[in-house]
Amino acid sequence: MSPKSQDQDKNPRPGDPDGTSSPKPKTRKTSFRKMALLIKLWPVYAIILAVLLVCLLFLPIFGKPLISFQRNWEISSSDLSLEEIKDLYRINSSEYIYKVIFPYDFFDPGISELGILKKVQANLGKDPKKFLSPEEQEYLQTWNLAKKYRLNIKAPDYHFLVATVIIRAGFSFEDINKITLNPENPENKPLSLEIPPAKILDIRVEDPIRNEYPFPDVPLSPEGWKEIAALMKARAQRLSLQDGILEEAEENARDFLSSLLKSSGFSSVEFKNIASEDFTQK
Amino acid sequence: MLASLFFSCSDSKIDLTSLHNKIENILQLETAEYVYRDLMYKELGSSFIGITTRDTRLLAELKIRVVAGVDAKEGIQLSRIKNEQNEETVRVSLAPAKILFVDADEDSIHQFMLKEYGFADQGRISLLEFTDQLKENKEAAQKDAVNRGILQKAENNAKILLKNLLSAAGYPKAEIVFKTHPEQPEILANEP
Repeated sequence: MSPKSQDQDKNPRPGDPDGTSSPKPKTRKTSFRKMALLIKLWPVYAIILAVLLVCLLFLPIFGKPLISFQRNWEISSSDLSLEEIKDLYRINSSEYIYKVIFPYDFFDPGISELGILKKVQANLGKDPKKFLSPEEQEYLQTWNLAKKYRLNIKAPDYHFLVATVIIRAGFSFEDINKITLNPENPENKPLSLEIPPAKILDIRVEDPIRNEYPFPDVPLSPEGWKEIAALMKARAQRLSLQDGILEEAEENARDFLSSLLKSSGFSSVEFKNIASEDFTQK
Repeated sequence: MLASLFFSCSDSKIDLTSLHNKIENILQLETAEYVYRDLMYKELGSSFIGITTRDTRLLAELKIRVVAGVDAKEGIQLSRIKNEQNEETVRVSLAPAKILFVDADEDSIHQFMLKEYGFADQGRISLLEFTDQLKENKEAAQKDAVNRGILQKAENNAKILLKNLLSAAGYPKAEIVFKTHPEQPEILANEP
């Protein structure tokens, strides 16, 4: 009998009824040790992962990061085609510029929404022009426009627009044959000039430009902008007529034509509006 | 006073008429207009971790007007001269024609399609996003109009306008010249 076998007989291992020897289960202990070692190295793994994430997300590789959580895109294209060429024969002799605020310029402080609503309810089905004053109609139209295009004109958003409206007045000379010489005294060469009445030739709204528009942007579709711009133009036109743009245009044009023709030798120039009384300038 | 100011602010009632009312005396001869049709498409979008947060698309058209003419305020001179046939006439010297303004006509806006998707107001197209596109298109229209000869047309029509005016005044052979044109030097003094 070998010494080993003798020892095994004296001290048999548990579970070993016949005393024969078998290898100890060392695998479980080894795997635990390995796992413990791996857990101890967690800072190293965290650093490697962080570096990888920075490289992937923030560092530009060939122009942009490989992975990005946020993506933005913008596509703009347009097609321009010439539609019409017009010959104009106009003299602009006056220009008025207005700043119009939508909607606050259109809300008369003396009018209440409740008053308008009561009138509308009392006259359901009728044309508002028959029972609302022009200011009330404008108030109602503004309110409806703001509601239609989801402009919150009350708290907390207070959406509003500020636009520059330019109105030009003068004369259109498409038909400039109405000029006559005074036949009674041709030697002194007084000139009788028949001119058409002054009228508003152009009303335009300046488009707000991002870098120059000092007020907050407003969520508004092009259709909404079209309707609001029309309202602003109407208001500016009404104001300009009240402020005398047509009279100013006529006076400026007379001054211009008078000085132009006098410097060519005419002693006096007489203006005659087609639809108004004579004016004589000497 | 401070209390009234505070309460008036919190009342949120703004009573304003025109903020800016400016009167300018101008004298311009508008003599040519080119009208362009602008068909524009704009798409704005954003996403977060693959989830679309904004998808805004717009297709619209409108007209852009390019108007040219002569600004008489930049200088107009009229003098009596004798032409090559020794006939008495007048010569008018004007500043050269220029682009007076380029305008996107809001009345002509036609919106074909508008898609607005996004959280709250983020998906909605804004006014400045639309006018940003317009600014570029207006510049392109102006450049195209100049290439197509709008300034020459404006000068020709200004000549017609003034010639007709002076012709009826007794000077059928009036001469109209534009300054800074090398072949037509500016008149420095009236001739007898």
